[in-house]
Amino acid sequence: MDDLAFITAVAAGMVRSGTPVLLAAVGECLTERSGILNLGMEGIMLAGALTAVIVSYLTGNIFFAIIAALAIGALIGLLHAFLCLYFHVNQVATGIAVTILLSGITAFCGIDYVGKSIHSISAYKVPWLSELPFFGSVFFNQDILVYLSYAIVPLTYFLINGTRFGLSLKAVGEEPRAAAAAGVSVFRTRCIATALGAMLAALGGAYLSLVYAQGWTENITAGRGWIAVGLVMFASWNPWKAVLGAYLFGLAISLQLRLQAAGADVSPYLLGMAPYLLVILVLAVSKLRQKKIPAAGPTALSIPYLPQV
Amino acid sequence: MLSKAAGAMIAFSGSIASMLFGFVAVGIFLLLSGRNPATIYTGIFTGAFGDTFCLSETLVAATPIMFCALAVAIAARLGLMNIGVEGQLLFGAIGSTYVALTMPETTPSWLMLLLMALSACVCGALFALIPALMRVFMDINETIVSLLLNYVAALTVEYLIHGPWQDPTTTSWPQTMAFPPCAEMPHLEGSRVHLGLLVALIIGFLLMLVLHSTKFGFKAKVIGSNPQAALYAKYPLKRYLIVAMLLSGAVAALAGFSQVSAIEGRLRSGLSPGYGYTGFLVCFLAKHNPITIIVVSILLGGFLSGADSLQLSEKLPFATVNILQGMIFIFLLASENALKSWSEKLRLKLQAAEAS
Repeated sequence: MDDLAFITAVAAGMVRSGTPVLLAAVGECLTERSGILNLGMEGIMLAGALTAVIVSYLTGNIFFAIIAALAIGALIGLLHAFLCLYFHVNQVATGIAVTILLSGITAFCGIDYVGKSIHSISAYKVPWLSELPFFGSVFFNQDILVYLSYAIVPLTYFLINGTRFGLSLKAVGEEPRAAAAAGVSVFRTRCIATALGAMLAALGGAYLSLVYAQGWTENITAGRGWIAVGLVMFASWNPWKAVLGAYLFGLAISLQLRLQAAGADVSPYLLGMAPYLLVILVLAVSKLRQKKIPAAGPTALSIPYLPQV
Repeated sequence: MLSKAAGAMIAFSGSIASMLFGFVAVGIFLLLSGRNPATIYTGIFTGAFGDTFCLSETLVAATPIMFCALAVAIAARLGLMNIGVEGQLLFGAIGSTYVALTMPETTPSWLMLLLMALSACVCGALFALIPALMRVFMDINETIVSLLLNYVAALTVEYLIHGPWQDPTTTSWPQTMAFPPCAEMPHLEGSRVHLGLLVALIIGFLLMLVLHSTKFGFKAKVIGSNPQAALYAKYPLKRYLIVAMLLSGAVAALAGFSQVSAIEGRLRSGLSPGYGYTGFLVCFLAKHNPITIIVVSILLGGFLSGADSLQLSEKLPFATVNILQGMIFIFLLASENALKSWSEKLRLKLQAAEAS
């Protein structure tokens, strides 16, 4: 394999490995902008992944599988939002509780589906764009879900920064009391943002099981949900920067897999640590940079909203 | 105002109620999956507390949970969420394994165990130092960093047992050589209950003393509940946060030490079926109180070992434990504030009755 082919393969792998984290991170951006911290992303991705596998296995229809994963994601997002908004619980603890619960449920229900072959999504070459040198084979020789992720990022950015809903979203995330006084429903806005974010995470999970791994294994996400939450901090709540972070993570995974396949003389377990350490490192570096120019995070993030006080 | 005792009673009843709700919810789940919850629950109960052997196995499972929950409690006192206890446990196991494999086999047992414990504590504390420093000096959420480090710790164990530390006699098994006899903790006659339990109990009582009747404990409480006031009072905030995380990591590491020394006798994967996460839940159930932690650890340890015994006979997946833990956790979190607002309403009603 010559150098260009190797680089192209690594870069295409980067897009594939980065997509699940990208979807979850963009979703978490949206959720956190409304002032809700959803640490349950790991669990929601697991739920989305297993739901997609089960529905794909039972119906043989990818479309239904994705719809079902989205529905489960929305449901769990609403559960998290309900706990945060109705019971005013500690959001970090709820997220961890949701993840423990879902990792248990998915492991329990997924036993019969381990190793089952499912209908997967095949690649679709975009007619003209895939002819482009390098970029064509990296970005436009993927599957439909990857193309969907290309659309989701600008759409989310537009939703946050260009719509009326986005205005309410940011108001609720910054000054919920002022927003409520102006007639915006804090409860409803935060519920919608959490549900949408969770749907994106579930879609990321579905991508992981339907396309990336093409099947279900217990704990298939291996921490990608936590990584997505970490990347949102790195991205200072901007979906575009979250894409950058997700692809960086994807690059680490892709390189690691390629090096292993090429028979590099490094333990796969040591290589496996690289993506996690990279995210931690990237977080630290971006924080050092932000010390000079503080990032504008949602002020009301993870603070329970008590309207009666 | 409700009296302090009544407040504690209400808080504790919240823990009990959420456990009951958790059992009911999982019961429904088991029913839906075609199993009989009644037989499973009685099976778990007899498997956990049925006879002296079951009881001893419960204590064995409770020991690492106790260490982990106490570790979480130390950090929680200062308002830190150390979910990295799982990774710190594993690094403790690595630290003590290093000592057990390198010291000569003729080392006296007490010295060997002491060195293993020390090495475990140092490794666990240093591993906890990473999120601590990032939190204190860069204001990065310690929860996320310590969660990610749990995966790094698990991969480090895998690396060691597949690579440099792998038992040279059986290349097919990813595990280290068995420890020499002097590296094995003393057991209670005829059971697997080991010295670690005693150490955990002592740490629990010590922690109670430190938190409730020393200056350190008081300052820690102020920092945890009102950091602004602590800053105003010129408390050495950074130093306290770092010391708390170091202590937390060291205590979690003792769980890893006692598992490799007393139970496994070597380092291998699957060392912890998530003791760290269970410990996190236990600490919340016990409202961060060290003595309550001891009691709740034994309860959850019983559930773990009871469910373990049903894995074969009832074909009950071990994941059931996680489902129950998640359910209890969610009910607990919800009940906390529901109870608070309920008792507040009660208080207002009483006041109104008194006034009229």
